[in-house]
Amino acid sequence: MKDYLLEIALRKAGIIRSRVSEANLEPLRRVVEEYWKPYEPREIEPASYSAVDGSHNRVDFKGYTLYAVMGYGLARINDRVVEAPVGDVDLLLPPGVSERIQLYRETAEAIAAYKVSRSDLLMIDGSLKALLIHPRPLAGELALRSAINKAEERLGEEFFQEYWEGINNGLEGIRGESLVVDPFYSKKIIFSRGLLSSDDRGIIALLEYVEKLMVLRRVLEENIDEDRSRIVYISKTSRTMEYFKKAEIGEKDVVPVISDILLFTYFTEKPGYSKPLIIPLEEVKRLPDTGVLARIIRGFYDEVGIALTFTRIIEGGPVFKLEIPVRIASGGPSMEELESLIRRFMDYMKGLEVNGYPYPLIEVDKASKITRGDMHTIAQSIGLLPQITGREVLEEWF
Amino acid sequence: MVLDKGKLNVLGHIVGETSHSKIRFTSLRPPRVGEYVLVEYPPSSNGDLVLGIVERSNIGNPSLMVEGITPRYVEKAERLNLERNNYMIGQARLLGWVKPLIKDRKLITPNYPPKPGARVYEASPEVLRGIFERSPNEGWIRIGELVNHKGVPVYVNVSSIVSRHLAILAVTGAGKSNTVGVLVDRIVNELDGTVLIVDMHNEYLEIAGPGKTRIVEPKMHPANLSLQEYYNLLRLDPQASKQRMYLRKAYRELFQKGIAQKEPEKFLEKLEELIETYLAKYKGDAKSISDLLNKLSELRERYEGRLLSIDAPTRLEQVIEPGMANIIKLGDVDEEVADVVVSHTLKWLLEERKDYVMSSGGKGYPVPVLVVVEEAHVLIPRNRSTLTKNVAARVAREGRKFGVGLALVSQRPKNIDEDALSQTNNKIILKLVEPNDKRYVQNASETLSEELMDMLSDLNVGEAILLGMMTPIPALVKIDKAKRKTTGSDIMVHLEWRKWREKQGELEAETPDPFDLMN
Ligand SMILES: Nc1ncnc2c1ncn2[C@@H]1O[C@H](COP(=O)(O)OP(=O)(O)OP(=O)(O)O)[C@@H](O)[C@H]1O
Ligand SMILES: [Mg+2]
Repeated sequence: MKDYLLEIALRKAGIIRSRVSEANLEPLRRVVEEYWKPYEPREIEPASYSAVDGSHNRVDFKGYTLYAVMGYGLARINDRVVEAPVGDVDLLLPPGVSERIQLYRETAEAIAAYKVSRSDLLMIDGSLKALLIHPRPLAGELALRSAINKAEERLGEEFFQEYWEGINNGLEGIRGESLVVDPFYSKKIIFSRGLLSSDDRGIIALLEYVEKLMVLRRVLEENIDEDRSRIVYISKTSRTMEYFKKAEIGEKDVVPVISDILLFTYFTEKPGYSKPLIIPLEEVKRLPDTGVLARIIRGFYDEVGIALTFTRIIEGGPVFKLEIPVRIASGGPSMEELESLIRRFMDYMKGLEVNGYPYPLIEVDKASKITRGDMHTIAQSIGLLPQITGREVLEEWF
Repeated sequence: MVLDKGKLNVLGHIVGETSHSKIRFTSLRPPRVGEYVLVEYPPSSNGDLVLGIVERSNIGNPSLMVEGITPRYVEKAERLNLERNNYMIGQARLLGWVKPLIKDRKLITPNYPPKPGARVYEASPEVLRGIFERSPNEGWIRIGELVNHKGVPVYVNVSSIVSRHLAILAVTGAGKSNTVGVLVDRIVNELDGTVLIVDMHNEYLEIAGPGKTRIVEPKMHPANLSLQEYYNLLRLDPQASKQRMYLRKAYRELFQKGIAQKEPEKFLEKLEELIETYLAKYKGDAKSISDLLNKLSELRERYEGRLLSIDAPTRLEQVIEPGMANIIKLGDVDEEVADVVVSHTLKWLLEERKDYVMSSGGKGYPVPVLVVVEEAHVLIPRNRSTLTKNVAARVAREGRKFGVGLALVSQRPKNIDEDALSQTNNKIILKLVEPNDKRYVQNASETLSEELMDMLSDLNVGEAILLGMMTPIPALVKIDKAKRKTTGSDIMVHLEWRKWREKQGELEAETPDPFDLMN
C-alpha cells in the first residue's frame, strides 16, 4: 500500500509542488503584521490565582446511560491551597444524552469557578462563547419561545425569579463545602415539580440551560469589576477565524483557510499577543427581551462582551486563545486599557508557566479527568456492573 | 475475642485484581514494609481474616507523573500543594488464616482471593501476640520483637532449628554473633540444651554464663586420626601421590602389626621411624620420602602435645559436655587443621548419636546437639572440597533422625556450599547488601520473595528476617541484645592510640633527663 501511494505521489510531484508556490500567503502575513504585537512578559506570580477545568464520561447500557461529570477548581489564595470539586453521577434516558451531559459538566465547572472566585487571576479552560450556545431542543427561535411559554404556564409567571433566588441561595450554601451530592438546582425543581414526561423535555432543557447561564452570571459578576477583569477563558485549540476573516483576499488568490490559532502559530515565533477584538454575546440575544428572563439573563449578558486575543508567553511556545469577559455597557474599556489588561494577564501567566502554558491549568486538567476505568469502578461499586475483574468479560457490556 | 473486627483500625481497601497470595491496597498512611496487616474475607470455617505481610509500600503523585518533567514544573506544582495529590499503595503477601494460626498454631494459606474493595486492617498487638507468643515449656525461646510492632515478642522453635538446621547470614557487623549469643544463651539456660560452637576466631566469651560455658581446646589422639585426616593435616593433595603412598603404607603397617593398638601414645614417633626405614629401601623415591618426613616433623613440632595429644579426650562427653555451651577455639590453627578437627568431631558426634538412637539409649552420646559453625564459608565452601563439607552434608541429611543440628553462620553466603545452605530450612537473614549474596540466599530459601529480598539492604544492625519452620510465619524481627558479653567488642582505634601515647608520655616523664643530672 505504501509503495502504491508513493508511486502516485512521485508522479504528481510537480503538481503538488506547484500548489505550494501558487498558495498566496501574503494576505495572511499582512493580517498578522497588522494585529500581532510583540511583548516579552515579565515573570510575576500573582498573589492569588485559581484555575478551573472539568470532564465527563459515560457508560451506555441498554436503554439508559450512566454518566459522571466533574468540575474542579483549584486556588492558591494567601498561601493557602483550596480545592473545589463539583461533581455528579446519575442515569439519563435518551434522547439528547450527550448534550445534557455536556451541559451538566459546564454547569459543574461554573459552580467550581464560583467557589474559587475573587483571586487576582481566575483561569478557566475552554471558551466562554461556546458556553452560551443553546442546547438543541431550544435551538430554533420557535422552540425556545414555546419552551419559555410552557415553563411559565406550568411553573408560574414569576417562576424564573424564584429560580434565580434558589440558584443564588444554593451557590452561597455550597461555597465552603467540599462534598455536595446534588449540585444542580434544576434537578431539584424537575423532581419536585414532577417534570418527568417526554412532553416536558423542552422545559427541562430550558431549566438546565438557564441554570448554567445564571451560575455563569454569578461567576462573571464576581470576577469583573467596573475597572478591571480578573477572569480569563483559555483554549489551546480553537476554530475561531475572527482574524482570518480580516485578511484581504483578492478574487484570484489561492489562500489556505486556517484558524486563528494556526495563523499566529505559523507567522510568529516570539512572545506577544494579537490586538484584541470585542465580540458581542450573540447567542444570548435570542432570549426574549421582556419578562423575568430578560431582566435576569439578557439584561446582564447584553452588557458583557468578550475581548478576544491570541497570545504566546515564551518564544517557540504554544499560541492559545484568551477570552476576557468585559463590561461594554458604557462604551467598554479603551483599546489601551484592554491591552494593558492582556499584558498583565500575560505577566501573571509567565509567572505560572511551564513550557509556555500556565501550570495550574495542567493540574486541574489532570485532577478533573474522569477515565473509562473510573466509570467501570463507579458502575461496579453501585452494582450496575458485575464485580468481575477479567477485562474480557467487561468488554461485552459495552 | 481478639478477632473482633470492630476493635481493629482500618488501614485501607484492596484495589485492583487480587490473588490468593497477593493484594494491593490503598492506605491511609504509608504502610511499613514488613508490617503485618489483616485482610477481610467473606466468613468461612477458617474465620474471616487472613494475615498478610507488607512487601512494598509506594507513595505516588499523579501531578508529577509526567514525561520529561523539569525542575520548573515541580516548582510550579509545589505552589499548589503537591501533597494534596499523594496516594499511598501497599502490596502485601497473604500468609494464612488468622484463626487457625492462633487457635491451632497452624498455618493454613487461603486458596482463594479476597474481594477487591475489602478492608485491610492494621494487625493489632493482641492478634500478633496470639500468633507469636509461645512458651519455653513447648520448646520455644524468645529471640526478639517485631520491628514494626514494638512490644510483640517473637519466639523460635528450637526442635525445628535442630532438626531442620539454621543459617544465620549477614554482612559483617550486622549482628550474627549477637544472634548466636542470644540463641545459645537461651537454648542452654532455658531449655538445658547442648551446643557446640566452632569458633574460628576465638571471639566467643562466656556466651551462656560462667557455669554454663566451656572452652574446649581442640585435641585429637594421633592414633585416632584417619589416613585421610593425615593427608589433610600434612597437606598432601592428590597430586602428591608418592608421598601419599608411603604414608599410607606406614600407617597401615602400624595398625596391621598392632603397634598402633599396643603403643598408641607413641604413634607419631613410630610412624616417623617406619617411614625413615623406607628411605634406604626405596632409594628411587628418596626425594618424596624425605619431603614427607619433613612435613611430618613440622607437624609434630607445631602441634604435638597440644592439638595432637595423647591425653585427648576419649569420650565425646569430654569434648561436648551435655547441658553446656561448648566452644572449640580454632583461632590458633590453620584452616586445614580446623577442617580436620571439625570434621573429626562432627563425624564422631553423628556416629555416637546414631548409636544412641539405634541402641535406644544403650550407648552413644545421650543428648541432641546444635552445632554452630562460624565462618561456614571457610569450612563448608562452594567449589572446593573439605572434610567438614562431606560430614556436614551427611549431618544435614541425617541429622534430623539423630538429633544433630547445624547452624551455619557466614558473612559470605554465596561462598557457602549450595547443598548445605539449601538444607537449612530455617534462616535468620540480617542486613545483606551484595546482590549475588541476596540472590544466592533467595535461591536457597523457599519463602523469600523478591520484595523481602529487596529489603535486606536496608535493615539496621540487629534487624533480621526470620524464615522457616522455626517461626509460625515469616517475620521481620529486631533481635534482642545478648545479655552477656558474647564476643570481644570492636577495637576502639583512637582510644588504643591515645592509651599508647599517654603511656609513652608517662615513660618520658619518669625517665630523668640525662642533662639534668649534670647540673
Ligand atoms: N540485636 C542487637 N541489638 C543491639 N546491638 C546489636 C545487636 N546485634 C548486634 N549488635 C551490635 O552490633 C555490633 C556487631 O554485632 P556482631 O558482632 O554480632 O556482628 P557480626 O555480624 O557477628 O559481625 P562479624 O561479621 O564481624 O562477626 C556489636 O557491637 C553488637 O553489640
Ligand atoms: Mg561475628
